[in-house]
Amino acid sequence: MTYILGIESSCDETAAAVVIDGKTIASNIVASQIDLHAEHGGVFPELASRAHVEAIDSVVSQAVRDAGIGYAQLDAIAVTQGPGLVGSLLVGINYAKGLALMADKPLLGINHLEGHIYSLWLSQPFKEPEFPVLVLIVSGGHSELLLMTGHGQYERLGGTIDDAAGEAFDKVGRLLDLPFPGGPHIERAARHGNGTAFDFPRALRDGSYDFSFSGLKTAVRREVTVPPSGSRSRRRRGAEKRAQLRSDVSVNDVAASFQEAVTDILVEKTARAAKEHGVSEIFMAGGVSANTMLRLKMRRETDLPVRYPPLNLCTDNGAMIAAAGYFRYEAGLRTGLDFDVLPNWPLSSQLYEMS
Amino acid sequence: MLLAIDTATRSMSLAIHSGVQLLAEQTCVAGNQQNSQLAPSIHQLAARCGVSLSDLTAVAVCTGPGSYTGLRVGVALAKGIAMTAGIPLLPVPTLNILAAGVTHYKPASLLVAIVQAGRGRIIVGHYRRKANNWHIETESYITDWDNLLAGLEPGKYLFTGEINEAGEAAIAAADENVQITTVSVSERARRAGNLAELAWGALCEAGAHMGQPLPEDIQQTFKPALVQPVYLKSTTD
Repeated sequence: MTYILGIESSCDETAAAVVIDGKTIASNIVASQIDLHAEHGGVFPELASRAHVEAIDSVVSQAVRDAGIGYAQLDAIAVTQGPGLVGSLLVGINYAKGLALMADKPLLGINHLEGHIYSLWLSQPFKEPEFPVLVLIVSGGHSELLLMTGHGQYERLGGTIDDAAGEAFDKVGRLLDLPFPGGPHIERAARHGNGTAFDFPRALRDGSYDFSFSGLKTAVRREVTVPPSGSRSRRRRGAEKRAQLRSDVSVNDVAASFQEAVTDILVEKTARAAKEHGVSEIFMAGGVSANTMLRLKMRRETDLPVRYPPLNLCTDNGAMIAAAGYFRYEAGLRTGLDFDVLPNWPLSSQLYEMS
Repeated sequence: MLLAIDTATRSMSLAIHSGVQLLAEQTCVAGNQQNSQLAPSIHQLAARCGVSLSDLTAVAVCTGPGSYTGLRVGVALAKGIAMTAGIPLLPVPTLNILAAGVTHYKPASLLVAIVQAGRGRIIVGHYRRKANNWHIETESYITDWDNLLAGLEPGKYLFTGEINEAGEAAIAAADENVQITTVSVSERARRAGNLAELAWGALCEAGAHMGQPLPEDIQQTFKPALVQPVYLKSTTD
């Protein structure tokens, strides 16, 4: 049996997990910073970095303890190398380096997006996929459409050119005075709303596989807020945060219509790409893949099997990093102690050759 | 065996101290290469003096003030080592390390230790020599060169630490009743050998004895989870 410890600190969760043979979760600890960032309505980078330093030692040691093993029994340490917030990534990376030095174990620098994909290897019972598969990663920081042709082999078909899908949920949630993070709260409100009440724009219906959600957010703002009174207030930084919600607007209807627009475009492009590339399955991962409407529509729009992770593995966690690490470990790949943070690391076919 | 780590500013300093002997020490300006250089440097330094990391009984780390990124790199790595080995982690402030490096001084001088804080600001601590050690007079504070010099009472001062060109100019223009000597460049460098000695001192004061296992209460006092970087400002300032 191969025991991999996975450490994740790229954004606002400090997480660690031990995974056996890339598929069985022996432990999974996540310290979320949601309460810390709630008052800012989004992730505040310096605050996130500080919280990681506070949480990292107890999270990692608890993950090893819960797995019922000692450091000596670990086969390798996998840690998120990027993409993400530099200050946050550095905490997990350096903790992992210290651990690897002391326990004399190999290190594996993992791409966070690849981690999201391998969260799908952690659902039970597991059935080995037939490559190629189409992958849609949708989270607070990423919206990526990828063709996966084998372990560690990816072709990027498209991605967001501005806001990530999850970011749009957060921003619209803030406009609607809903709590952070926006995703689950918008979904809840949308259940009681009319999804055709507003005809919000579906951007980039141009045959590309790129996404754009910034215009959608602006359209929602125009619809639901009182226009700023003078030109000065418009220029003020963070004006959208203070924008006044119109009293005659149905929050539920706006939430439902916004959710319709986002899921329409995600499903439309994913289904088209799946058809064009003749894949055997569609994989969804990331926080937004927890959205029930998205899951429902995706299954409705395509005849292919659609996989998504269990709910607790949609958001950032250490288990997905350990699972991705297992396949790198098995491929004989190792990362040197000198590896640097890669805050803008794209997921591409060179991934496995980088070490 | 104690490992000392200091990445609080652009310099990076490491030391391995046996308790009676400084076995290895390395100091260099690593700039933004700290993250890539720190772990391999520790590995190489230990190998060079024939020490196995499994022989470590304690880790000491500079907790700031300093660059937030540098502090996080050093503190996170030190925590990773100490937690994994189950050994104490000792926090030591940046300015105390600077003061410990000053060995040439005249009696009755006040020592002023300085760290750059960016955008023309500096962090300052005032130390006085008592019983063979430098003792900090007041809590360290953030200021700029002009305000530091304008606030000094007439007297003799020794300046150490990160004295840049602006600092040299301000010192040259100081009031004639304020006599300032800057310590030599090599004494100004923050060396992890001094950090290691301060940490050994703290361990001995807490009841540790050379060559014996550390008492349980020392493990509790210096638990790695208790160590956090010292930030200049809260995030909301």
